[in-house]
Amino acid sequence: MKARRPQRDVVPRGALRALVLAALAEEDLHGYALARRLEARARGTFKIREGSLYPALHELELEGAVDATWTRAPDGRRRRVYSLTRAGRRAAKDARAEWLAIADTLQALFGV
Amino acid sequence: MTDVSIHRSSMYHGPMREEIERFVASLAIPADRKAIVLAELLDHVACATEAAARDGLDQEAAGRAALGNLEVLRRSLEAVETAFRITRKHAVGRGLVAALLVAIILDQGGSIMTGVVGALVVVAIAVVCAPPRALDLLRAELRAPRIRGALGMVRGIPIGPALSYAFTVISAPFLVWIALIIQRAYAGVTVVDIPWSAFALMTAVYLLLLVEGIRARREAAA
Repeated sequence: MKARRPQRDVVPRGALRALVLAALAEEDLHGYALARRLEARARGTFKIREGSLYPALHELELEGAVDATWTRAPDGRRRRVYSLTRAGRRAAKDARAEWLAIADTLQALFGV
Repeated sequence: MTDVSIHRSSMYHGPMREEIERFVASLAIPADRKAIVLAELLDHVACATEAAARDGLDQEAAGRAALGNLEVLRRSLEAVETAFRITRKHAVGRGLVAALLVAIILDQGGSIMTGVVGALVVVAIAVVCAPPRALDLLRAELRAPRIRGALGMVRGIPIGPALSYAFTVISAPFLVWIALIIQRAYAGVTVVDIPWSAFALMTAVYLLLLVEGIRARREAAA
């Protein structure tokens, strides 16, 4: 029987950044949709905390990796949708390669 | 009934909206960033309550869960948003300090400051005195949409804190040197020796602006 993976409360900071970039590389998303997208993909292994998501998005915005545009939700409330810039697409590619390499290394070290 | 419920919860005419507003108002971040954070949090909680309504769950509880621990959120936001805090006035102040140091060091540094050492020293001073995350700010400013200038005749990039710092640090030393030349001329010293290191900072800044400007244009075109 396969052991159930425990749910993590937080995603490591560098990993969250890589996951955000990866999700935005597929589609432009607003904060809530981005959090749910990542959680759905993680199949319950972690929960995205808003305390880390928005600061991570704003940091990426400051670095020029993402752009944010204002739109409106169906009920008229203001909504910020994030998209990757060209630099962000490069950063997404690099982050993905880096984390996959780390995962490979850890698997080798633990003899998985 | 459900539609009304979803609509009311999304528009936030309840205690949660007030709680979010109070929280955002209490954040130690720039005012324009508060507006952004408030809109994002309201949208986030609205999405959570709408999803709860669709799934037949407790909307209030879903909204609170989506908001998470406000003190953790406060710490994270205040840590990141400070980079947006740098105002133009603050950047110009830092630029003036850097410019004064550059002017004095090149003027008083003697022959060692006329060459490569002088050039490296002035660039180092400009880097050390720069506002936090100045390069990130500069990139963001160069990517900003073009706006009409004060005269309304041409469109250009808005001059934000990073560009204010850059222009202050390259131009103010020359004002100091001109003042010194005039003052010394009155004292009878009419020989003016201009070392090439005096232009090193200007060259470095314009090269940086050129490279980052091209990058920003390319990104905009892509």
